[in-house]
Amino acid sequence: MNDTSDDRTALEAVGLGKRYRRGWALRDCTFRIPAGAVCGMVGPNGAGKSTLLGLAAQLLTPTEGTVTVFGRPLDAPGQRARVAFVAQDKPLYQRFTVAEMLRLGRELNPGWNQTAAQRIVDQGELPGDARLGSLSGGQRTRVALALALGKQPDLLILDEPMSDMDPLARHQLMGTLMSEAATNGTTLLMSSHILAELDGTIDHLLLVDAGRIRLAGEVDEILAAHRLVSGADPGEGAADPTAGHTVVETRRIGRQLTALIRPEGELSGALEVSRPTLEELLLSYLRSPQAPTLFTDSARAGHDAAVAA
Amino acid sequence: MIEYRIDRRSGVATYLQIVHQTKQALRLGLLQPGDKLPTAREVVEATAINPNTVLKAYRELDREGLVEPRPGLGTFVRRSLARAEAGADGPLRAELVAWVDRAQRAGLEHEDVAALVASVLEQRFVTGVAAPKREIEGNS
Amino acid sequence: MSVASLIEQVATDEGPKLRPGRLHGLAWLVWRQNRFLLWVVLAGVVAVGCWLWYEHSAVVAATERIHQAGCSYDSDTWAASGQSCWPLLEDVVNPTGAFTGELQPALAAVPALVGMFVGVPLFSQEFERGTHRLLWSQSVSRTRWLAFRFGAAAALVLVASTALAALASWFWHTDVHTELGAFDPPFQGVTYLVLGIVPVATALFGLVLGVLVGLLVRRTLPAVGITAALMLAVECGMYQLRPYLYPQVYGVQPIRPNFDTFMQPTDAWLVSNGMILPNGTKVANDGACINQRGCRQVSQVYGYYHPVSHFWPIQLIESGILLCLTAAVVAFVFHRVRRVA
Repeated sequence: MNDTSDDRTALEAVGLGKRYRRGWALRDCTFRIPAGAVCGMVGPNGAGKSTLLGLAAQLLTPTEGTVTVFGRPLDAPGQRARVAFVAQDKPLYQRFTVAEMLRLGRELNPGWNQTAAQRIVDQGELPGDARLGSLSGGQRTRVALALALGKQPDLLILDEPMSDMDPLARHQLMGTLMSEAATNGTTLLMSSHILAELDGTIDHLLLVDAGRIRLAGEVDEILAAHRLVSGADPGEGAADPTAGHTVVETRRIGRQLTALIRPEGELSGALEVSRPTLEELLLSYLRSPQAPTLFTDSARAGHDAAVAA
Repeated sequence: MIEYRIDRRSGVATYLQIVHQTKQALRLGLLQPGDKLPTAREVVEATAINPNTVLKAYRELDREGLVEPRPGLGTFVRRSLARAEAGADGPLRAELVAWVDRAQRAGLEHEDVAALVASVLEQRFVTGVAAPKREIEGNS
Repeated sequence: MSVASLIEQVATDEGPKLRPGRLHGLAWLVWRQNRFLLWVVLAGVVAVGCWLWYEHSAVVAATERIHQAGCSYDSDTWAASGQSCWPLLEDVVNPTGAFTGELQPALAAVPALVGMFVGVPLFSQEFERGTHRLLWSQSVSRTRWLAFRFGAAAALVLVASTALAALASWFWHTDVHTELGAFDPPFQGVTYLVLGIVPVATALFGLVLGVLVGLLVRRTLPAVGITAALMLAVECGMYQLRPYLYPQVYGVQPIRPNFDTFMQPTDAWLVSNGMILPNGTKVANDGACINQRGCRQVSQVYGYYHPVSHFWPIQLIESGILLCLTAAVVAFVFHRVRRVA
């Protein structure tokens, strides 16, 4: 294992797996998220997203494999200050006031930035003396995010961050997160099952499904590797126009054939070719559990080490 | 200063929307040489899009020679796309307004006028600005 | 509760002097999370102290009246006085009876209560609300957090149980054990459990047991029940073990006309006794002898007992055992907390 600090890799998992009493929640995960990425983690409910995030935040201990943050294990000295995590249920002390909650952040984090945290709270017009228990779900999310951003982490891990926010607050906070990424180079890793929430915001993608990683890498590269093709269905026995390409999903409606493929060479002239949107691509993969996985170069574990060697 | 409007459902890549809107502003004279474009941080805070998208758009504009980054200061407009004729008070605009008025009097609807103009543009500007969709295709 | 809130009120009114507003880091968090508990415990100790002082004054005044009435503690005077002295004794027996009958059992339950209401919530409350994920995502490591959290709780329990044990020991020595008409030997019933250092060691053990159960069970209500049951089991086990913690004294006495059992010295703890048959066999005093040959010729009885001088050695050994168990549980909890999610 690589024990030296690595500033180009925000998160790296090698053979990561987690087993609960009811079985494996996550198995055989090997991937890398480069520093500075805004990475979206998508997948159906129960796919293992929260488990993977919990492992990354070191709230869970892996059953097998390792996970490192900036090249070092999370329990190495000083590493805890580099990672912030907001759990899905946004746990906060109900009896604390907003101001006390921020004070908790200040007291427990050496690099605390009160201005950054206060700005987020003020944006939501939350009074400092309001008890957390009296706030709405969206307001609590705001406080939880303020606490995470006040820590000034290098890697910010968010589990379903905006699920209980109204559209305005969602837009505002996503803007805040993006500006955080822009100014401090913070790496963001956030899970969501709302694809529209991620489109346009993320530049890296992790598709988690049934405890495995199925797609990992830059959104642009993944999209560029795929084509949506459609044409007349040649029917039984005739030559398949998608033959020779990696087929993710084929659908037949009447005499029409539609497929998401990864082209390997020239495409048949009989097909109408277009580029899939992120949403079309993800839905295709989720509908086809047998589709082959795809990792772009930057998402492969040991990527930088290989380049350096 | 320019404010970008991002339409996530348009199907047009986000960075291209920024490029188009910047060019549009340059054409209409809303941005003049020496003007500063908003910083990536300002854009993403207002639009909640990925900062790299903004940087990519600015690089594209830089590559086309329209803007230049000045380290530590920001990104600045280098040249304008505005032509006197296309300005709000230019003679060409006045002629077009007169023509649209005539079309309206002749009983043409909004869609009819738009279709007519589009077909003429298509015919006259054979090598002109391509549709955004084809531009994405050409980008890879 | 009302006393606690009253004290909190007073503390708030007295301004910043009483409030450790300058606390930082984990110390601040621990204070913020436990200030209510702190006031409750403080109020409890003060209440016990006040009540004992009040009862002590009553005993002193009653004793004074008894002496003035000429009813000194001497069986002849007492017997001769007839009806006149006995009513005066009521005023001594009532307060001391309240101590042995009510306060002693309550104090004996303190270690279990500490486990249930101070130990268990330390983890279970965080788990139930998911706030452990908030806490453990901050820059401080969870072992450091635990050290502060645990340390504060242990300090509170140590101070409070020491104060209670000292108060109980003081009242017992001055008013219950030595005063007129009182009878409460140190080894009897729950008396032993509230005197000396054993209550302190048991309270600390109760705390860590509660913490452990809260950590493993994760839900407050079942954890409180399990802790109570375990504490009861431990106390029962200790009760069984206690006679053997220190070598017992063996004594033989000749049988007396009207008294055919072994008479242990004052305040001693008679563990077992019986008769010695002429052939030298010992028969425990449980009725087994009645039909046996030779029982009628018994001339000696025996007894195994702990004299009152064994009180401190037994207390020290028992406390030592409890503190070793406490240390083991603490080590396990610190080990376990690193792996828990």
